[in-house]
Amino acid sequence: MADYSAVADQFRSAGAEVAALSVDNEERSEALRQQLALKFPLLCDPGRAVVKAYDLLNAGEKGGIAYPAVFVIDRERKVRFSAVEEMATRTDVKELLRLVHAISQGVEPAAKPRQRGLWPIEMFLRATMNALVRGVRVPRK
Amino acid sequence: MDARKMLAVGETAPEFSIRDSTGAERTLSQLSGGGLCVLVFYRGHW
Repeated sequence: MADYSAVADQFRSAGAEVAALSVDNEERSEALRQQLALKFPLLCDPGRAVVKAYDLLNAGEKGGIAYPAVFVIDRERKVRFSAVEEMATRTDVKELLRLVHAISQGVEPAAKPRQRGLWPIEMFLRATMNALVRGVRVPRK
Repeated sequence: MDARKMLAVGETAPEFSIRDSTGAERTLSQLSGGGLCVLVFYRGHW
């Protein structure tokens, strides 16, 4: 959470608003927000309606809590990136920021894949992200 | 993890309208309206 807060301004200048959601009530969430001096809103879903709508309810935990997850969602509410559980906790915030930059600048396929399902977009984004992170290597002689 | 359904790239994220910790009403459309929303689900203290 603090990781996201540290780059919240950079997300904003890349055209993305950060928001974090849990089943905590307003009082508890506000205490956390102030404790960590978070620069983005904490959304409160004590009724679990949103967590359920996103299929992220971990009912095995006391009262039911959210599985950790990260989504990048565009203004048409289309999911552009998603990571759940281990993938979400392993998602590096700086890499996510680069991805957001790439999406904002339209560095991704304009056409949606018609026949092959959704994986090519993910592969492309991953490759784009890797290229942005590591640079494009030119083979030497 | 089992074969639990997960919101995937290309799908439409469910709209919501809930309060933030300051009591302000927040909708996904409003959050993503500027271009993109990075929506993080966290475990919380429960």
